[in-house]
Amino acid sequence: MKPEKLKNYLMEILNIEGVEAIFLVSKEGKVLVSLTSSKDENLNPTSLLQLLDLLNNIKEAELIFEKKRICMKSINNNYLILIANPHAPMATIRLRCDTIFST
Amino acid sequence: MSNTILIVDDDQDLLLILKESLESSNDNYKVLISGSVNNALSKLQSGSVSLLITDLRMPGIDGFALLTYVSQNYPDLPVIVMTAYPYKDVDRMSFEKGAIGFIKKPFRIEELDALIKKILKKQSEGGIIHGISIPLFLQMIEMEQKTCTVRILNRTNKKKGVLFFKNGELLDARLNSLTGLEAAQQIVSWDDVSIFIENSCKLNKKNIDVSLNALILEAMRVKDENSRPEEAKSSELSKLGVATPEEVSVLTSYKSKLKSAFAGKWLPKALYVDNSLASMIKRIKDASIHLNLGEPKVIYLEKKAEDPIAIIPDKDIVVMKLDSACPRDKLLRILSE
Repeated sequence: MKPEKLKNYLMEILNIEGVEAIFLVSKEGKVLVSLTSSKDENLNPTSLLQLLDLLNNIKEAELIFEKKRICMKSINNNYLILIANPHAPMATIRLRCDTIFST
Repeated sequence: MSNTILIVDDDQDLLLILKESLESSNDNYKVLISGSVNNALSKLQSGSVSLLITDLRMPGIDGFALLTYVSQNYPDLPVIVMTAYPYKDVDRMSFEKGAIGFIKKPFRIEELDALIKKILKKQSEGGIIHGISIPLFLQMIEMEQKTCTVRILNRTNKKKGVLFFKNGELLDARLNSLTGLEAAQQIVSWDDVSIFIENSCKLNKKNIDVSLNALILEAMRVKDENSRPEEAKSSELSKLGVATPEEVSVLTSYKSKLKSAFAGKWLPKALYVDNSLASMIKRIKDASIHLNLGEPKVIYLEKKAEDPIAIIPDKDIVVMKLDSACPRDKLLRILSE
């Protein structure tokens, strides 16, 4: 998939209510796409890499915290990381991600 | 799938004999009986009827009128006509009005039973699928441009819905008395289903104007909306938590919480304490402080070739091994409350 097209698709996901940031990170830790609608500076992809390191070999992970929810999905040689508020519509988001990355 | 058969005849004795004979010889038949068309219509609205058997000559509204009504409002519902009507061509007239089976009175129960079995078998001639997600299944139908009638059984609440496809295009849907987009959205939002495929579709008219993708997205939105915590539910759960005696082990309390939340219909494959995960949890907690995420409440992990697990970083670390029927969003919501 062309990077521009991918970025547009990820923007669509970012626009879903409750989604605050979305990152595409390679398994080596290189940030490929970084999109955010939040002003929270803590939510940068670099600070999330330590979580990825913990959850190696995952196909999919969802971490629910008091204030946020982090979803990670392994896609080919990359990880899609999504940060949302705890009440974001996860079924919709998952379906959109599955649709994008199955095409 | 158990099949509900509705028999309509003004001969009460015949109705009782048919009900008893069919139910006693087939464990998966439930036979409903109606002495009039009016009474039959109210039973049809329940949405659970898989097959209709009707007499033609009845006082008031007759069987032909019922046939016409059914073919317009329940096009997926097969109808067998049973009659002693003396006129020639009555079988042809019945077929023209939508019946797909005909049996002349008097008949032997075995003949009727064989006809019922043949017709019900046709409803799943294209296959029966369990445990697949409906959105994924619908996308396959669209890609393969299939023409079919898809009956979907919600295994949680036992409701049955029907979707009509022509060349991969969703024409219409029916769920009890709902039709069109409203019915389709509800059906598509179901989780634990069995799908029965009939390789034909009687409908030609399109009654759903949105694209399949838009329909699926809207259904997911409705599903998310419905799975948000409701005050009543959360207060019920918190009461349960308080009611759990302190001396009862943490596993028993989680098990009873899940039993109550899922009404006994789903439980994890395994439930255990695994404090060897403490170092991983500590590192997640450290990261959460740095990222200002708050305390971790529940962690869902799916690794390649392994069952997914949910981890609750409590005083004791509780692990739940999940299966494909797991209502994931609801479970995570309950565990994070």
